[in-house]
Amino acid sequence: MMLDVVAISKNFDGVAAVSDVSFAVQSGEIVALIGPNGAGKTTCFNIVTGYIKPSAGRVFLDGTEVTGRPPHVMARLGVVRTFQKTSIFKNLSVFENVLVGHHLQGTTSIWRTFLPGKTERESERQLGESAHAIVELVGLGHRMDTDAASLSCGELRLLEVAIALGAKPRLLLLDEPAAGLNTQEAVQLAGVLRRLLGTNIQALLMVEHNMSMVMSVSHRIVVMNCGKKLAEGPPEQIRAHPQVIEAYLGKAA
Amino acid sequence: MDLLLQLLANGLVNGTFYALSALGLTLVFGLMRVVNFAHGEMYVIGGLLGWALTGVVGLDFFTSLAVVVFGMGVAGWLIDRVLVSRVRDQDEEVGLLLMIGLSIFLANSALLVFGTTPRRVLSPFPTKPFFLGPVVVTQSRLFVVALCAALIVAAHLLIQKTALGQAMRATFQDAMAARLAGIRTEGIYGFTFGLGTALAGAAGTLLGSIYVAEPTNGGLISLKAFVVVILGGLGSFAGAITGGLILGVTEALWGGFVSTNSVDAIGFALVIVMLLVRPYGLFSKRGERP
Amino acid sequence: MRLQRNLILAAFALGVVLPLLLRDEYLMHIGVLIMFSIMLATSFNLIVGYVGEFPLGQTAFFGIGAYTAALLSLKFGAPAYVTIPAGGILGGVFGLLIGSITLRLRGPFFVIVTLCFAEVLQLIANNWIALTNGPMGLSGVPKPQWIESQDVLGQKTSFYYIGLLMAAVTLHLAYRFVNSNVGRAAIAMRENRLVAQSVGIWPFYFGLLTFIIAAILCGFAGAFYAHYISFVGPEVFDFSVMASMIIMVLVGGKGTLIGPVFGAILVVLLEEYLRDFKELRLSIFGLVVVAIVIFLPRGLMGFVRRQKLYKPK
Repeated sequence: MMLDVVAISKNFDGVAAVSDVSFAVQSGEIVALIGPNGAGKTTCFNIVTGYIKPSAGRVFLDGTEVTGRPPHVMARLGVVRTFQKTSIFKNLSVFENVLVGHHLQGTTSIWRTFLPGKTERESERQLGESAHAIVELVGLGHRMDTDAASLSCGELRLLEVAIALGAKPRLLLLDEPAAGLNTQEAVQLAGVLRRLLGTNIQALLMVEHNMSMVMSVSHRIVVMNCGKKLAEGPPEQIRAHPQVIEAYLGKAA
Repeated sequence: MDLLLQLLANGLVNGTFYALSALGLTLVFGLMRVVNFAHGEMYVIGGLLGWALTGVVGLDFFTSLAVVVFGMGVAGWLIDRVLVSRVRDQDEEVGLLLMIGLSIFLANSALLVFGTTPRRVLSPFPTKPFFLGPVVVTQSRLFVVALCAALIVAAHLLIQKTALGQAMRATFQDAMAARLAGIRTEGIYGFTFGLGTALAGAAGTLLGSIYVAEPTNGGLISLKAFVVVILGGLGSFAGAITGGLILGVTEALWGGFVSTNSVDAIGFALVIVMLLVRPYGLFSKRGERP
Repeated sequence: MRLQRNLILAAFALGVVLPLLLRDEYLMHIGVLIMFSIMLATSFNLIVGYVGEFPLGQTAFFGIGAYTAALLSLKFGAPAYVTIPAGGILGGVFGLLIGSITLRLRGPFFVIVTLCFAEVLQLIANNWIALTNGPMGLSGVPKPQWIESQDVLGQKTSFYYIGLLMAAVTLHLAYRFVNSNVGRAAIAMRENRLVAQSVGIWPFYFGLLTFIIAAILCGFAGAFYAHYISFVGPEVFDFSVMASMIIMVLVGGKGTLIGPVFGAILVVLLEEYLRDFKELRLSIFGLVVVAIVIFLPRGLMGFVRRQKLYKPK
């Protein structure tokens, strides 16, 4: 069990954004978290990655409790996420964006920062190469030096994934990676995601609305509605689940 | 015991002054998220104008006050429309820098024009003492306290009870929604800034009748106002009043029982303590941000 | 970065040669002022341009450095090569203290509270007569022996070269900082705090680190100033020093390495030219700040591409 989310709840000023939600992500899986808007999916993300503390419940990573640890600590433990609204460093180039993502691989020693020796220079060179490779991997090689602010929506999504990849995560959390993408771009992204499993990324958890991508890429789907977990299972099962259909389309008249 | 009461009275009197002075600052920040670094300079200009009108031109106090309020209000509106509006959509720090530049300009221009001589605004009330039990307050001070309170109440009524005030509050909550509801948000911003400037200027005139108006004061006035606002919470009316009273009383007690030299420092010490304990002030509701 | 680095190296070369051509006391004095302004501006720029916060109380560290140097040399007879590092170290200590309290806050709170600290320090300097001699200040801070023995021109030239060396070291440190993993972390924090956190950057830590580095640099500058002017009074905590720093960085262009250098040169020259007209000068400064904020937010050097980070072939 890589990620174990146990009975988490979160209240904001009396409104229960998340109520008693539990699910797990195993090594080797791609799990999708779906549900109508306002279901509490991003709040779950925020809790797992440490941006918010839950009002109740616990989160475990590889058996160790990590509830409430701050985001930068979670990143060090190998849990990295992307964000719903495009979150990149818009004044930096694509390459620089991904290079920043490599922060944890670089040195933070003051000594080596101001008096760099050969090891330091070598380390910087390696970071640069890794960043270069990741940019190519997600298909943005032709935009290597472009300022992130000038990218198209689809390219921005790819850049977000690339930045997260720079942090060499073991568990990658993607918040609506296909939002704003056209069909072709979504297919391209799905391909990238599938290829990621098997690198040092052991599992993916994503929030997504694009149903065809969800169905084609996930091993398991967790459905949320109004802060609660509605259903969980493989794609075929979820597709036919009556309550899920009702949640999305409303009750039959 | 008598000493304590006297100090408390002094503190409350000063506190009311601080409250009025900080009110403009907290309004502008609360409604526009602009930190008016030039607040102290506007106070100073209010005081100098008040002197010019009562002393040189010879108008009576109330007319002068009205002219200052109106004039500073218009000036504030202009500053907003010409300068602040251009940087509104950028980061907060840009607006801050703008106001810092403005404050440097205003402080030194005032020095150029008026020189360093301290001036007095002519008060209609003499400095004869007024006895409230064992406590002594001068008539002129009482008068100013009363006017301060009146202005504070007037501002409160404006914001809470009028349609204009409602438009202001709506714009603060959600500018986009306010625009969709037909509110001319640009005008509201201008008015709010003008209100802030007018209140600062009024404080300057009022207090210039008790203390002095001099161009070098601006920085300290700004800082004290910031102290009050941080104590009470940025954007909170009640906070400005409470913060002002707290600062006034604390300064009076410290000055009376410990030493008068370091009185100014006590405000800063309070701020530092505040920031460790309750960073957003006494009255600010700060929930968790996702 | 290449362009910036070459410009700076060229300026440095010019700086080394200049005194040999201009053998003039007054010009050397200007040179010293420029050197130490470069240090101040660069340190301020580290926080403003790379972390993105506005420490309006930066003068605190300058003043600490100055008083440290003055006190150590007057009361203990410490030589300059001890007092100057001491000034830097003490600046750093205060940076740690003040930073760890203030960096929990952002935006206007950070601005005001750092300013409050500087004001408190000024009040202490004014009132703790036993230590600081109050408003009368500490005079007679000794110059190093080998400088004392020279004539006035020689003295000023020596200070100029020391200043040049210190400015060069400051710029080199800034350059290393910006091109390092640590520097990237600071920039990332400024650009997008949420994403920075998600890749493992702890904003508080890197903010504090940058703050301390800037404080140390300011402390060095303060100590140097103490030995040059030979007098340290509470005015070192004055806001006018801060105003100069702001202008230098803004006019030159924040977030670049050469911006503060350019700004420092420009501002020192302007200040000297308008020296007798303090209020007018400051008034104009205020207008300049307003104009730059509105029309030229990236400063005069803004066209220089902000650090192009290392890229493999």
